[in-house]
Amino acid sequence: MKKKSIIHIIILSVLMTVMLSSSVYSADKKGDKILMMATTTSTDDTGLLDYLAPEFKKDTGIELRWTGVGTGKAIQMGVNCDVDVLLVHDPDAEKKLITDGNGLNRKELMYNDFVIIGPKTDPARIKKMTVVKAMKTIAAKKAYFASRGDKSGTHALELKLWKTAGLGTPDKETWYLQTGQGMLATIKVATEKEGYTITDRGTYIKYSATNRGNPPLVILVEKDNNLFNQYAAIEVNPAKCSNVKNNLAKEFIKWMASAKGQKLIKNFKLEGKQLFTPNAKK
Amino acid sequence: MIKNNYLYEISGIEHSYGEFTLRIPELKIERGSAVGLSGPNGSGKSTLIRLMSFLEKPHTGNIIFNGSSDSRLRATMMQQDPYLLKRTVYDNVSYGLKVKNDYKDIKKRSAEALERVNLSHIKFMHRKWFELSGGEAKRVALASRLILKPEALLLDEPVANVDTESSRAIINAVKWTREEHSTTLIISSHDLTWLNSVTDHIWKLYNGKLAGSGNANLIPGPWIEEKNNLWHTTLPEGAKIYSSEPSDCNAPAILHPHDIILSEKKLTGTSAVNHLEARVNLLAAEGNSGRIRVETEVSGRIISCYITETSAVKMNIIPGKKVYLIFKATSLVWD
Amino acid sequence: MEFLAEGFFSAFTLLFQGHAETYDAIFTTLEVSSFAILISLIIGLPLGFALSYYNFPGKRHIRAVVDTLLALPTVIVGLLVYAFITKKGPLGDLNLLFQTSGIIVGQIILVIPVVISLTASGIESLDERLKSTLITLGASPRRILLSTLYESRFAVMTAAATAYGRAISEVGVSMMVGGNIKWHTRTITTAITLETGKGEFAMGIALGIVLLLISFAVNWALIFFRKRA
Repeated sequence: MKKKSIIHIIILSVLMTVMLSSSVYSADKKGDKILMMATTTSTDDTGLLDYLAPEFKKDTGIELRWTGVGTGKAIQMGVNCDVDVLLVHDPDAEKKLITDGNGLNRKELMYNDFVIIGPKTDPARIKKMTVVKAMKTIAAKKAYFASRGDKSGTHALELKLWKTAGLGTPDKETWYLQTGQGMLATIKVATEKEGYTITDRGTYIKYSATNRGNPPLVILVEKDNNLFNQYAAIEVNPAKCSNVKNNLAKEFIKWMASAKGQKLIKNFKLEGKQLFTPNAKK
Repeated sequence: MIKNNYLYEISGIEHSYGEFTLRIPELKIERGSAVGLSGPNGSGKSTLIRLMSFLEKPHTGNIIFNGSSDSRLRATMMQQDPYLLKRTVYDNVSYGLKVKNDYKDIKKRSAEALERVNLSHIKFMHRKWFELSGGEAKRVALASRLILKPEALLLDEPVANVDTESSRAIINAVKWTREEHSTTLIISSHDLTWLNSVTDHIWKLYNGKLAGSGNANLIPGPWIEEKNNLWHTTLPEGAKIYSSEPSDCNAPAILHPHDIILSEKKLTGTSAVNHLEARVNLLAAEGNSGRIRVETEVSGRIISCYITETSAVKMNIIPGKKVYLIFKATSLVWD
Repeated sequence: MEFLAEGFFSAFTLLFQGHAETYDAIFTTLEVSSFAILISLIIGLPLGFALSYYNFPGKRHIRAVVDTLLALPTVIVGLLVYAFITKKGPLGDLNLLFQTSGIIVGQIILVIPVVISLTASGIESLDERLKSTLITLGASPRRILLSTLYESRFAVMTAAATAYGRAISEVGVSMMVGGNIKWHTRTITTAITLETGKGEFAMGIALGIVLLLISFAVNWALIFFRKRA
């Protein structure tokens, strides 16, 4: 008797499992209007997508789901056909994606800007220099510099800046700290070492807010053309990935570039400050 | 198939554990008898019982049970330190019936089995395994075997390390099952007096071999030659026992209690070479035979002999009394 | 430091005010881990039992492999599972990526060695007299197997609780395979990672406290069952 009831429980639980997994599985099948996007941590962390997604759903009936990862991984997810659309900020990697035939129709949507921050005492004296000069000075004075080192869009920009400044990419230098972590973690490393780092303005605003407006690291270099960071959306090529929902991806990009989408981006504020500047070409 | 009168027929068994080997060339146990196994620790009692319960197959040789080599369910064994299932007393006692799908009156039969070992079923039925004393646990283990009405009940040291009340309950239950169901009993113990009171016959085990039966005294070696055909061994407290030439210098000699004369005084002018000072330990009546077994301590070793009731009275033999044991060197024999 | 106290405070605020996002992450965590555990137990218990109860060639080596897998980093399992279920992977058509079912698969792989190893040790630590006793009482080989399993029930419960602890606290698989998608595959641990990345340390602490409370509830239930048994 006891033995029978154990067998019943086992059968029942197997059945329940199968039913649940199939319900999870089919949930996506019936609601076909789900758009899967891979994006960078900055759009996720700042809350921009939490703010845009409901509006997008209201206008188009499409549910936007996204996973916030580093730009490198986001692009790899596009190559692997895991997502329908990408929203990233690494122009060189994006171009490679398109020339390899994995991405289509790159559309520039907005930019944010980066700043170089450092201790208030500014030991290397880079305040108000141009970016190129500031980078050269940091390297010459061997002041601590914290780098993301994680193939994110921010990391890509930083590497480009070393190049623009005519320097080789630092690697094993004692003053060059590669954290391999997110932006905030990297800022924390710079704070502890009283060094410099480069960050997007949005993350800096959040950092400043968590330090009650009096952060140990302050903006030293900003508003340089080299510090603008272009975000673009790219469709994953349906010719290479038969499963992707290319029509939904097209619709998303169109909506983001529309007058309404652009206005929403402009109005998105963090701690009362605008983070992204829309710049989609008509 | 003709069934003979033997429940167990053992032939040519050899079974080894590391250094130790149990060797039983032949042993037959009659149906309905009660057989005791005695011997010191490590003599092979538990191993023989495990083999006879069919928990292990002997490395060589055969154990025939009831004319076949399959004993399933008809021989059951209780270990020296029995294991109780981690369930209630009732679940332990009824387990053997449940595995046979024998659910008829199962509650009533379990209660009876508990009462048989003198445990109140009202008090104990629903106790958990950890709510029992050592003696109570042993009684529950016995009840869960009695309920199976086995043909053979094998008990390994059933009353060792048990309180008096439990010990008495176990003896009574074992005697009852023999009278009621003609259960064949095989009981190991190193308490000879106790074993004598419940069994018809005792086999002695020494170092993995059957070494004599009944109340034979075992005198371990080594035997050392003294002079022209006289050998001796030294007892723990220094006294010497003399013998004729042993078959094996290290084998124990058997000294039958009948061959020992018990004397109040040290005798002179006898042909017997062994005159040992002893102290009476205890006296035990041998059924209604009028014979009394006297257990004595001689230089740190227990040696038993027999006297009649009459001479016990005449000589005023009481525990603690100093006596002399007298026997010939040739009374010590080897198998 | 002050974010610790703040975290404690907001943990209770989140729980008592019924913060929808937090509750969604809690339910996702519970759903995913419970199914992963259930399936792991169904597969792992018999395997763990077989691994300690029967003798067969290579048994020790298998045991060593299982014990080694206990130390498998969750990110590696996440990566492995991702490699199989990405659209270009061999199981891409099953549509498991970014689904709770994908996380369940990963957690099963993560947790099965725990179940197998702890069940095996539990059964090994059973009294050697048990088997003799069961034979003596006339149990058939199949019955011996079931009774042995029942006798080891406390060890099995401990195995289940330990495995559950590993499942609800892992972050590698949930992040790699689930993608931390809000309202869908965001679990407590991926939410903690996200909040920490955003610099919301207090929120991270709060979610950590929620996770601890769940673990505590599981272990408390275990103690309760043990007492009753």
